Amino acid sequence: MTRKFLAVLLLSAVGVGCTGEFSLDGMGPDTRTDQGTQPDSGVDMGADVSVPDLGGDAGGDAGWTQCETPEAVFQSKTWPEAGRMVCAGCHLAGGVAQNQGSTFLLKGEQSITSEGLTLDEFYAYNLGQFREHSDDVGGVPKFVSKALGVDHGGGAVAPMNSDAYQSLEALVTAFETEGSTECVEPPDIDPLADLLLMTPQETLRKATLQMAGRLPTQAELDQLEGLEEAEAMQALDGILMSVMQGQNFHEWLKYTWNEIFRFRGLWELDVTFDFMVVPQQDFGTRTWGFIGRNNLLCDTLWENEPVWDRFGYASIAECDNNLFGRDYMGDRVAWSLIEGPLELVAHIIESDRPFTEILTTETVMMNYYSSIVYFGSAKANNNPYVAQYMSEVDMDTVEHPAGSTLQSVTIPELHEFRPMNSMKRSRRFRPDPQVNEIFYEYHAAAEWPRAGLLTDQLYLTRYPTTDTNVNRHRTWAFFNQFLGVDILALADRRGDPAEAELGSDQPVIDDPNCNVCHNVMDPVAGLFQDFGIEARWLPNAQWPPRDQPPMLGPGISIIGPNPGAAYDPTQTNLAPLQWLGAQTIQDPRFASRMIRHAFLQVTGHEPMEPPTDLDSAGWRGRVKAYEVETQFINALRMGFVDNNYDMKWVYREIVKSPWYRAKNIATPEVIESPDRLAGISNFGEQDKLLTPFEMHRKIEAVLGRPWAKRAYAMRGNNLNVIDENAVENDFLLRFNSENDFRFIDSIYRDMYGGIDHFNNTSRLTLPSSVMAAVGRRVASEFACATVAQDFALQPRNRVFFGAVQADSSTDLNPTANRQTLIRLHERMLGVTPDEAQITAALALFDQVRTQGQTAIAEGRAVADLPPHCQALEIENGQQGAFTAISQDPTYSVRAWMAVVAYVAMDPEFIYRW
Amino acid sequence: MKIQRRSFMKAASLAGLSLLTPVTYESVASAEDQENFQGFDGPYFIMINLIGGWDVTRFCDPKGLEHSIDPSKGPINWGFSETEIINVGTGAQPIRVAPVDQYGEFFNDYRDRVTIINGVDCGTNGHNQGERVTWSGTLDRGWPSIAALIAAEKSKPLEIPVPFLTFGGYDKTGDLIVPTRLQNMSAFTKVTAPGVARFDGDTPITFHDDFAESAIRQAAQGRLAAARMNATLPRTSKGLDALFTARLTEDYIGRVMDYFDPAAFDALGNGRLDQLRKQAMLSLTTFEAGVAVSANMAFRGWDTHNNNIDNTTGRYTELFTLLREIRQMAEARGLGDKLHIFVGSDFGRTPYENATAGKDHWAVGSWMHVSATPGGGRGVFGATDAQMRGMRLKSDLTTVAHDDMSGEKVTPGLLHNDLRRLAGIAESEFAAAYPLEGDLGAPIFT
Repeated sequence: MTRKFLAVLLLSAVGVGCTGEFSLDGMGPDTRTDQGTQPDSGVDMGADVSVPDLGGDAGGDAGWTQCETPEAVFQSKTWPEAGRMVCAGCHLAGGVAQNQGSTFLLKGEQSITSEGLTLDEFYAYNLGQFREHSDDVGGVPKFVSKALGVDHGGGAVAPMNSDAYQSLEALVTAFETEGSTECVEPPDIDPLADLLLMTPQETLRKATLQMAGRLPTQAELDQLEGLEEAEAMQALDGILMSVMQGQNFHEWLKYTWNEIFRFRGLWELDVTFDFMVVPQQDFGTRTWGFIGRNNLLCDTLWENEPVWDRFGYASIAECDNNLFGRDYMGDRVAWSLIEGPLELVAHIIESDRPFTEILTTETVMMNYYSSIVYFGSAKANNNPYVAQYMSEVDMDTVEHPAGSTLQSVTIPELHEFRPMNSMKRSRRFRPDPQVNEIFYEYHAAAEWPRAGLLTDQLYLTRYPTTDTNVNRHRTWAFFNQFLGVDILALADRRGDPAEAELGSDQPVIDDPNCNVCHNVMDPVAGLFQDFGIEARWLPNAQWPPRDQPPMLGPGISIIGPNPGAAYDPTQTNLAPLQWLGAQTIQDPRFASRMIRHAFLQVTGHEPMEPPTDLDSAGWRGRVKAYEVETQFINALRMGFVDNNYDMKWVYREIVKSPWYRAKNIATPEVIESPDRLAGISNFGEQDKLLTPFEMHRKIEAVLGRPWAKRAYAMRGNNLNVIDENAVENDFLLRFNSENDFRFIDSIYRDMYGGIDHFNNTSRLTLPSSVMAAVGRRVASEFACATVAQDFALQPRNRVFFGAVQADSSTDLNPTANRQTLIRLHERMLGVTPDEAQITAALALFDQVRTQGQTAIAEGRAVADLPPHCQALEIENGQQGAFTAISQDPTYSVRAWMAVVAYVAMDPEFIYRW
Repeated sequence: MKIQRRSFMKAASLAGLSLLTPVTYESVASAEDQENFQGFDGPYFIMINLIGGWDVTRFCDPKGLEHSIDPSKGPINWGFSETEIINVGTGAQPIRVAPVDQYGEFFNDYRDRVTIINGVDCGTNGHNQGERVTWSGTLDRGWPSIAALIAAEKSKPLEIPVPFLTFGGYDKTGDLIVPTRLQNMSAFTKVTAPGVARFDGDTPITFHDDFAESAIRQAAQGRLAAARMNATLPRTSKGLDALFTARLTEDYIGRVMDYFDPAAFDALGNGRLDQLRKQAMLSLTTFEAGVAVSANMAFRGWDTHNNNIDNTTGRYTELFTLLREIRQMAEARGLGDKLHIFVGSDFGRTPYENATAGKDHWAVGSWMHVSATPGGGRGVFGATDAQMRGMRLKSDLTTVAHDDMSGEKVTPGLLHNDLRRLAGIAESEFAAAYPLEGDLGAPIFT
């Protein structure tokens, strides 16, 4: 098939029958839902399981004729070859060309979501620009002569032998023959009808695991039983509302918004004092302590006495829970400050407040530790948090220049964040340099106008600036995170940056290659100018004046309903960043960007980029996939606005959509058609490993109790010594839980493709060999910590092994084993195993058990369970009588450990929520 | 430009296939396979990403106090005169560098391996774009870094577990290969021996007895193969194939420990130079074990908008200390003549200081190559003119004015084409899928 013909195949795929409407009430009449049967595509893959060839000739869906209308040629050829690739580099609205007076202005694909355009409207607008600039210039249309460099500010951009030029030529031909071509429409592609979706119950399990870190209850599942698809989705919606509650949902919100804003990356800044994450000049009341000395001093000597004894505690543990000092404070204060903005985002969502408040609210989320920074005092008379929510802690005694004074108090709760609507800056100073006494000056609470994240200390610290950057970096981050505008992409290819610098004293203002970005960026940077390096508050232009050349005057550049407006304090009582926030939330790109964040958070995938590859087969399908996905995102955006920016509504709609629920193809014919196969290429999830956080939460959910902070195990041959730190020392899968911060241990995180949100911000989503080894180890750790511990309970209280016995020395009951295997699969994977899977698992069990018994008999194995895997004491979350298990003479426990590890290595377990 | 882009999309399709097609779904690595393991024998590549944009006038493209692109902006170099510029190369192949006490013994020991290319025009002064073009050869998005490209091509016939190591910087792979990050080695034995809960001295305390562990793995691979047979969504197929492939080569990770010195590694701290030493040590360890092809090192701290001289001198001192130690470590491991090192950055820095004694972004910078071949250094090619513009390079490797079209603009793409030739992948399938503009017709790197 020729390229030309291929291009033509595309025409009706995007141009015909697109209404731009997407109903959130249903996914189309043909969307299939697997009603609980075993996933079976009905596709006989045979012995050859190689992936269908997506490359090469684009055959497969012929049978209809080419249709070279201007619309078809433009969509299939001119736009991707010339419009997007060449012209849009300068001719997007606000770009270099407009700066130079051009009236040939195009829209980029971003406008589809930001302006709510349909694909038809998008292409029609841009084609219209070509039509309007097709007047004859020297025998060719103007857009052709310009491309060849005739009277063109950008020079020759499409030489005559280039693909871009040929695509322009094709458009000229199409214009000339317009109206004379009869078109036969190709068969329609409906990607949504080609998908097999998860059942409502499977969907609920996935969402509950993902967002609430638990399995759905039987009562929740029962509500979906036997319902038709539409009814089931309605019921699911209601259940999800209750799922989106509680501490685990709260933790997920913070986790998933940190993936966007990356506040936790601040820990990589070599933070050694708490005040390093907020400016000491603004919050200089106290330096509360070192970071990293959070174990306090209970187990050390102080003035020759054990600290815990000196303070009258009965044990080190009791001391740990009650003794409070500066060294204990450092970590907690820094953690509380860094978590603050994530707490704010979570609070807005959980309390059903409009999500626009992330840019407008005056609320600051505080716990005790951050409150003493934000109010400059731990005293109730100065600290409303302390006054309102807790009894005063005598921090004056705690604070001590030597840093070792301890105070016996009840340690304030770390996770108790409250919305506070005031804060005070304070200044620390020495009135006389010779006097070693420090005074504090408190400022009035109203001094600091706030606008959600924009004025958040941690946001400004995470996205810093310098004297010469003058807030442009913050502006770049702001545009990207809140509007989806990549300022750097406005001029991915500049003419010659060095030449630009040489040609002007102020190239950022004078040179089109520079000001294409700076015109957008600098006015907004000016609005940030109340904040300087280290996020210091420097109002009234103490630090480079906001309009000092080469900076442009403060304004909103391309943002909001009045783009280009300048900030005028005589016309508004809002502070600059409050005004920016108010303008931003009125910009449709704000809602669009938030929807795209949400889509990524829930599905694990970024929304599709417009397909551009004309050479490979299935392009038509990819266009269709893009079209339906874009319609869905547009519908979400409009619904988001209509629902008063309710982010939980967005999450629920995505969960109910095929982009979350697709699990297989609906019919075998799909893979016979390159177009149809390409149409479903953006569905499914198993090309993204669960992240370390997600895996940890899933394991706890499946386990039904918290992962042990400390598994009790016998160390080596000394059976009299309990090693309380077996997990801490030996397992990869662990929380860094000593300080209760609920972070995944960094070693596991690093080894499993994780990111630190600062130096590494791109996750590894497919497994390397190292990650595969980590996965195998974690599967074994899970089996080790689970099996004997479960058998140690009475059968009715067991999670997995209620149907079988740990110590059976005779042949096991095949029915019970089968029941147990089904239970394991359903609990761990959320699927009922098919006969082949049961047979394979039983075979593994029998093989290991038989070999194990032989090995014991021959002295090659011992009756003892591996030390880490013995069940010696009841764990947090377990219930009922507990019978310790340290031996396994029949090798049954270890055979079950093998089966559990095997199931935990299943791709369903490691890829799917 | 369009041809490149089209080819990229082709390669995107290739990307899936590259992960998928080698998979046979027949077996895991047998003991015999492990016995007959065929590692990669070099040459190896380390790409040192100097993140932020380096001031090459403080190293290999010095101008001196007398020179300025505009008198109102001040000199290009404070602190030294043009007459003080020193030669750290040879008489035949001079390498003129800034007279700053920052080179240590590096050039004394390795001047015969060094090639400098000055006047490299990145065509951008944005960080993201600069990193991208320097290490992929193009401003287009989504292209693989050169380290990933070499690793993908060279590892194709082999079953090596960590062909492409990355410690940060521009490390996109174009989906040609799965990268590996090794950051925290304190627990690496937990990965090289995933079945061992703890070593009691030399005695492993395992989760499962050996026969059980083996049975679990065989059964898991069989289960994975069955899942793949039923998978029809392309994403699912891709994920399952990647998992299967990773498990297939997982056994060979343990080879790293045969060449790893944990005591030396643990003795290093967390400062910048020690972190870089760790990156180098891990790279060379995996090279020696035959399980890796290339490594991307990330060296931060070059974005010297403030106090340029002090900051830059500190970074260069660390860089040359590091380069010498890498060479020494490589030689000690018998890899001295198999290791190519390339040093590059986002771009250069302005030929004048700003108000805070810093320097801002400048599109023209330099590259440095430390050859695997003794005597492989070729001195300096390319240059900048008095305005700090990149001069063009002719096929005889002489320079002409920046607007003399008889020469080629020295772009990262042009250098990448030569680097690909050096690596022996210029004609390869993957390289063909990502063609680059710029061809000098004469080799630079040897």
